[in-house]
Amino acid sequence: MTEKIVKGGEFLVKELNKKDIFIPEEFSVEQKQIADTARQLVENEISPNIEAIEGHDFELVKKLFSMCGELGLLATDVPEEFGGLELDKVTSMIVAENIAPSGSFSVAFTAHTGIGTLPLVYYGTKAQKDQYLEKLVDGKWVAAYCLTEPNSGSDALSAKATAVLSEDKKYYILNGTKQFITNGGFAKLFTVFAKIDKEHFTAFLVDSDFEGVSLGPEEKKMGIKGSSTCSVILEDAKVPIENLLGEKGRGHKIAFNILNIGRLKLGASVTGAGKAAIGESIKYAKDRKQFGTSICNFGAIKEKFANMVGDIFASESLVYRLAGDLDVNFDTLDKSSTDYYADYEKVFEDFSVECAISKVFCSEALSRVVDEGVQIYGGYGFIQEYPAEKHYRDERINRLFEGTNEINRLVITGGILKKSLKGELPLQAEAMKAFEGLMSPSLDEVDPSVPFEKEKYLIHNLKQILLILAGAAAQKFMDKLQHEQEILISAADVIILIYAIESAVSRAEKAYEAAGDKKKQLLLAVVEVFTFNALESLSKAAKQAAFYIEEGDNLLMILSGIRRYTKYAPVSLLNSKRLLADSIIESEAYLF
Amino acid sequence: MKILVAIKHVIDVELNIKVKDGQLDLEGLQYVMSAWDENAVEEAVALKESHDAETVVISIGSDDATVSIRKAFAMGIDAGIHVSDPNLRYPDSLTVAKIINGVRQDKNFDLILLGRQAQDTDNGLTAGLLAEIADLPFVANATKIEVIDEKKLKVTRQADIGKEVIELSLPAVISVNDSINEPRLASLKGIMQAKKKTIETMDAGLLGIDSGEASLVEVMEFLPPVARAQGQKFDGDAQEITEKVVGLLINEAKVL
Ligand SMILES: Cc1cc2nc3c(=O)[nH]c(=O)nc-3n(C[C@H](O)[C@H](O)[C@H](O)COP(=O)(O)OP(=O)(O)OC[C@H]3O[C@@H](n4cnc5c(N)ncnc54)[C@H](O)[C@@H]3O)c2cc1C
Repeated sequence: MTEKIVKGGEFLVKELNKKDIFIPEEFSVEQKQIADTARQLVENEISPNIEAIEGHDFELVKKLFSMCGELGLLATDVPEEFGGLELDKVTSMIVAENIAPSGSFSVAFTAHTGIGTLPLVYYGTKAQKDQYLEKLVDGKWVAAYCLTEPNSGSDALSAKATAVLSEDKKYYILNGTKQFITNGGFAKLFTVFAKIDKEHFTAFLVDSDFEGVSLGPEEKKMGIKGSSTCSVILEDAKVPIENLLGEKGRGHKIAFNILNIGRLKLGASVTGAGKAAIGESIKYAKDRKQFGTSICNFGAIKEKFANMVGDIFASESLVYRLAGDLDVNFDTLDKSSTDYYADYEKVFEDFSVECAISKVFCSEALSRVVDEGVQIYGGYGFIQEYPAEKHYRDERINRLFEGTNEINRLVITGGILKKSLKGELPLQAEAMKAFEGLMSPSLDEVDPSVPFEKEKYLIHNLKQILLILAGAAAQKFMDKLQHEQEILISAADVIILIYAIESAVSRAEKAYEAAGDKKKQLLLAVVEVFTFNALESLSKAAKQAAFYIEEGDNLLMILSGIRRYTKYAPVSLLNSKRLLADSIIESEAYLF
Repeated sequence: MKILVAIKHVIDVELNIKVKDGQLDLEGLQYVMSAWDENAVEEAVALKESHDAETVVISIGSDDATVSIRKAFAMGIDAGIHVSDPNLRYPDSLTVAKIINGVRQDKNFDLILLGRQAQDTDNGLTAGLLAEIADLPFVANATKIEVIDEKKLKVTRQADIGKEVIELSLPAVISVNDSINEPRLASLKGIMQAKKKTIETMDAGLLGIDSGEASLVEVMEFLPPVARAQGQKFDGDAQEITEKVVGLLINEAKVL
């Protein structure tokens, strides 16, 4: 557990003490058992049925949902009063991560437990929960979330679906089409967003059996082919007024808050998918012989494994850090209070930047991993019979849904700027200090023999870069900055990578204490490999932003600052990569 | 019925195990409940569900063994006993049997269930030794257990030639085959409830066992398994291949 209660966004202006990060090495006995249950369910019941699932055997999928229900896997975020277990977020992430190797089923699962169930949990009345929640928890009903429309995707609030009160005032009459609805084909409960009187954006609980609800055909997709994706068509759909969810005109709060959670969880899911992809690739690379030896003995292949492990280590560290931070914040709330979920929503809002980071960083880390996965398989990676091909196709959706990665990057920079404007983050004052630092010579000495010292120094410096860029951009563009998307996106990349590097380094530093000799070496190695890779991307983003923002002497000054603050000497990089690769080849699985 | 299930916390043999200087290289290894013991736990829980039994597990070993006890709790076992003693790091089967017998006498169990062998040592001795010391009837390698009444069970066991059906009076010892059942996955509810169950810690000495001298058998050295030589693949004419393979079997493998 963490000692201090960390607040959203503050990582940019504060140093992280390793005491204040939750790490996977601290999972409790129960959490490990829960991981086992989810993992074994996938191995025993889901993976052997992948072909049937990909062929849209929805009866089987529904049966699997019931199994999940019996095991309590659908209950993690639901209060005990309604048949749930109300476990912490770390545990929810553990479930998501371990269900992830089931591919299409995992998408159905996370849509159900996340965007499907949580609107009701957080915003439902007692009567609504009594009516629906237990059925969702035991898996008898599957849930779906209907926000997107044909003409309103990223711009979700421009939805055209309408709701009008019926003459007898007993029903809302809903009209409109919802597009790309996960679980649409077999879900029984839909959370549908529509505008009352074309004005008040509002959520409704819609039973698929209600009059006027019908489905479009299944979409033919690039990946996650086994998941159901179809449109939900509302033609004078009669929804009882009791089924209005939350408050009239407050649908956007529900939509965005639920997305925050979805983004956090997506990070956990793709981490699990990445570990599975690594595991498959290693087994293949050991078996496959060319030039008289297993291809895993080639440096070119080893290097790929090292980079893959680095990426997944960072994803994992980041997701559990964030989940741990959320949990300590939730622990301070009064569960018996009627405002509990309102306060809960505030915590998620406070961490909306980190949730978006989890979504973007982890989905892109997975994209690198599955791409190298195909490469390791060579031509066989292009053939459907081999798992790498499916991992590759299934990955792509993660950068699109739950807000595209562009939208999420805008959420990241926008969220930080908003916090600064609201006075919640002393960004301006810190930016001033960073500028001053830029003018003065660097006197700090780092002792490279102390483990992780040089990375911690680097992280401090990287934050200076962000502050300098933010300060310069704010000064130059003032309130027009929000229209400079290229700058915002580059800045988001800097922010994302700072959070990722810091998560990986602090996790390793904390885990190092209790680690055996072998693990100590591995921790040092993975940190060096990931830090170096991430730093290269960060430098590019930072320089790009500098060129976008400044010119002349100011530009030169910032560029020299970036050069100075990105100095990092990974002196054992090659050895680190080989150590990681050799260890992973020996253990035939992701290492940490 | 009071059922005692003896479980062993073992190195997960699905992972690569390495030997260094005649000793197991323990770093980074993971431990699990021995697979056959999971079957025994499942059988006890199933008996509880169908016949209202009281179920207790016992595990002997370092503090880590409590992890397997907690797993048994999560599967539905009611209570747990942990016998820990630094001298009992690698106790031999006889010592384990003596300890289980001590606990059995202390608490009056009707049925003692064990896996037919441990996943790490593959000895398969404990159940038989226990039955002998305790002077109780014993069925090894059971594939089915049915309750006739409070004092009698009908047990099917896998023998070399087909199955044997045995009527057994309690108290008794049974070791189970892995085909007896499919151990359940622990439900999240079971896992969380297990947290509230307590583990009783017992000292081998209190059971009259001197752990310092107990083991008659000591493992002197561990040797890594010899890597199996690569197989050969033969393509071509069936007749030719047959001749070639038979030749190799006689001359190289020397098995014919
Ligand atoms: C398989 C699948 C399952 C899905 N499941 C669900 C579900 O269960 N429920 C649900 O409600 N929705 C679901 N969706 C919809 C999904 O969330 C949207 O597709 C996504 O939000 C993007 O919207 P869009 O497709 O309309 O793209 P657009 O919004 O048209 O975006 C097109 C491109 O423009 C960029 N862009 C758009 N606006 C901006 C901007 N302001 N600034 C910069 N760039 C911008 C985007 O990043 C993207 O690159 C699903 C989609 C798929 C494919």
